Amino acid sequence: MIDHAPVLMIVLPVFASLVLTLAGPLGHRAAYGLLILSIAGSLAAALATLVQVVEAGRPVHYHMGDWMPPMGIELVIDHLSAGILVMISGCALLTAIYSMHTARQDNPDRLHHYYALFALLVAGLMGMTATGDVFNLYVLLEISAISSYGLLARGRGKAYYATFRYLMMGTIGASFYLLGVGYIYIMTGSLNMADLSDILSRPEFKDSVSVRIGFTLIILGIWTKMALFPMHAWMPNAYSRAGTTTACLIAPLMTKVSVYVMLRIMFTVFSVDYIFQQIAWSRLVIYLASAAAVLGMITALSQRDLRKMLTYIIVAEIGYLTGGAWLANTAGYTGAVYHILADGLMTLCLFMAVGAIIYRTGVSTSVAMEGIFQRMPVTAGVFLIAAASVVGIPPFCGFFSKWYLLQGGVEAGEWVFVAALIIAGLVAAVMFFRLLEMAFFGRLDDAVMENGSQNAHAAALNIRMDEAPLTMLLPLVITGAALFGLGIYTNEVVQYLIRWSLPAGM
Amino acid sequence: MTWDTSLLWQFDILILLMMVICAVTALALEGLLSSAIVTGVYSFLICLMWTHMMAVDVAFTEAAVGAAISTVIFLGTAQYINRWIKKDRPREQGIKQLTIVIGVICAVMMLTATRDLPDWADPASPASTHLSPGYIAQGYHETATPNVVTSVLADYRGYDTMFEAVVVFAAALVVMVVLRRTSHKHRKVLHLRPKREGRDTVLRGAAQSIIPVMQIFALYVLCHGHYSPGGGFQGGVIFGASFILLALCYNLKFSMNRFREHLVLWCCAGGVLLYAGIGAACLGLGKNFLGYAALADLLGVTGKMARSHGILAVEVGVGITVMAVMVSLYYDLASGGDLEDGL
Repeated sequence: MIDHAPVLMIVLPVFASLVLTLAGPLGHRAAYGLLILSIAGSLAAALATLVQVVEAGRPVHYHMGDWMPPMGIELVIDHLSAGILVMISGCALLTAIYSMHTARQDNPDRLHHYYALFALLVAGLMGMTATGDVFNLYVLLEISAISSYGLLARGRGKAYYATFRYLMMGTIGASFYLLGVGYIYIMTGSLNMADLSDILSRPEFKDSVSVRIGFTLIILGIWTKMALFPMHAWMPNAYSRAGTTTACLIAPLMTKVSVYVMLRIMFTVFSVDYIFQQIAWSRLVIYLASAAAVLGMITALSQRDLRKMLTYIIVAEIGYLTGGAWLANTAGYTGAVYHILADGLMTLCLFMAVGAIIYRTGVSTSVAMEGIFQRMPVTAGVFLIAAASVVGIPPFCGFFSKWYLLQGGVEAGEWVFVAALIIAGLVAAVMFFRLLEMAFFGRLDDAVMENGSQNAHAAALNIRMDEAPLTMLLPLVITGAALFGLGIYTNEVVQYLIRWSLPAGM
Repeated sequence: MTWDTSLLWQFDILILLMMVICAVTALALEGLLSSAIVTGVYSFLICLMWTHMMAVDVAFTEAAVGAAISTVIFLGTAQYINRWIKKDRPREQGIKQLTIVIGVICAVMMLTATRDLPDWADPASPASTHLSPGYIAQGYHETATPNVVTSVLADYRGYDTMFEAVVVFAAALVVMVVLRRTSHKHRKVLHLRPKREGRDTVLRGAAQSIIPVMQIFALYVLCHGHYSPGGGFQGGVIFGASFILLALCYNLKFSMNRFREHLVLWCCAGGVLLYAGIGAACLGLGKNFLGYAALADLLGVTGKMARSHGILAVEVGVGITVMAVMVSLYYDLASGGDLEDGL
């Protein structure tokens, strides 16, 4: 069975989604259990594959339908994708456990269809990460995109409008990717990543305009998908109006997987040589990334809505990741890959904590933070850990990724990027300090009187300590512990996973 | 047929010109209904283009999906949307101009790339020399399927096709989740929809004689995919279209009484379940996922015939899903999500 782990981790959620679609009569508990079971299976398969990859020291290949690549489609799980697959399925599992109360609150009707889309999104993201075929990647990109449109549209207020904008931008991004793949296919006749890499390294493609434009289209498509500044406008509203569970699932994963796809296209399909010698954009991209980091954090500082603030933090983090990937040195690449894992966990942790706070207080602006340390000590403690990690305080993982990124920036002599990282970190510190000050010293009663939300009012009158339910608290604490654990085991992660995935010639 | 006698470049230029005109017209028209119809014309033109490139399978799909069903679904939806777009505010004008600038830049970029692309229908281009000869040479011997397109689609790249069926399924699920949600009392649009009393004798007579033929043709297309252009997607769309035609000629309720919403949902998921289930069965029988050769012992045939049967089975799965999804999309969109009444 272990040989089939690569495909099982993708098709288990697909099967779950199909069954969940029809599982309406079984009730919401069965749906919840089925979702958790399938994603836990997926996580187990991902972990088994990770162990296999690390032990063997080489990628695991899985040939679909027993066809040899490049004729057929293969899944290739190497050191880079194995880590990210575990991150995706792990985050999805935690979110699934977390969803018990919030998903039912956000979806009074058709909960099983909501869960079916949830499982499909996970399958799409897993498939995108595991595949070794550029067209297959597109198909799974569509699956993750379509299911995320459905999930986001079930949000609150004007979620429909925000999702419609996202749908337009997402479709444009996917079309650009597909067009780019089309150009590359016309020039090479292949879709398999390893085969493409062989063909594209031939000298006649070095100066080919079509290949270059194919690459440009693919990268522009991915940037739109991952909301790199200035193509991020669709994201804040879409994510901040989403339901709590949806936000916890989509915010950490969608953009990170797009960054992974960018790394794949840059370093597996094309080569370090081609990206940094033939295409001389790295300077420009690093400026864009720096702008994203600084402007994202500053905009986040100016937000009152908690989740909108977190979404702008994602915009900034995407800047870190893109900058790291385009620095063209080992430290930058290490930082970028490590930060995919770290930022996935940090974002998940922040969104879960804020989701729990909103669930209890019913307020989604920063006022909800008032006196949260007295009322929800565990949630507030985990929020503090996540905040420390985003700001970059050791020993949490956010510190180490930033350390690598700074080191990479200094080595490459990209001072703009270094400055942007430092400024963004300081702004993040100011932002979280403001929130934590409210959380520590804020007077609960004042907040409730000013914002007479009934929920909060009742909470203030009756109970002093009002922690979130256990199904929300448990995943939250695990994520917080993971932030700490990833930070402690940074060396091991870098040594056993990231070192192995360094692209040739870097 | 050799490529140089069959390709008339004047014809291509003509179609291309008409396509550009259609695309611009569709954008410039103010009415959504007319825009939808022009988009349909565009699809027919591109369908001619595919036929001319001898990509008949693609042309067939385009005709069924792009030209026919999408247009009908657009029309069914447009009745709810304000038919006349309001005059743009100055800010939106600015964004429109920006869009045009970006569009022009992209077009210039893509046209630049054509400089070193291989010639039109060049037999020496990488796309026709790298992998295609392998598929053409081995396809029949390995899968016992004369139509190479089908063997590539459902076997060599069957994993892609499975997820394409999942995409179609996901589309129906999303529309369902989004539309069948709000409480119907609060909807403003519902009174806008046309009431069908239905005394259209000619339409009904035509439907009565066309629909059975359509359904048999759909089944033929589905099953004959091994030998001629066709397969699950095209067959499914045609079969789904027969129910939509029924709804158009009678009314939505009439069609829904024959193909109930509950059954539609089961078919949407069931088709994909059949496809993925066959994949999983292969895995259970000791081969890789979707390695249909594993079914050989079970079916009592040789490995390559097992592949051929496997292709048929997954095509049936795709057909069921596509058929049900088309119907489901139409039910939801034409009735505004309440499945009560509609076009």
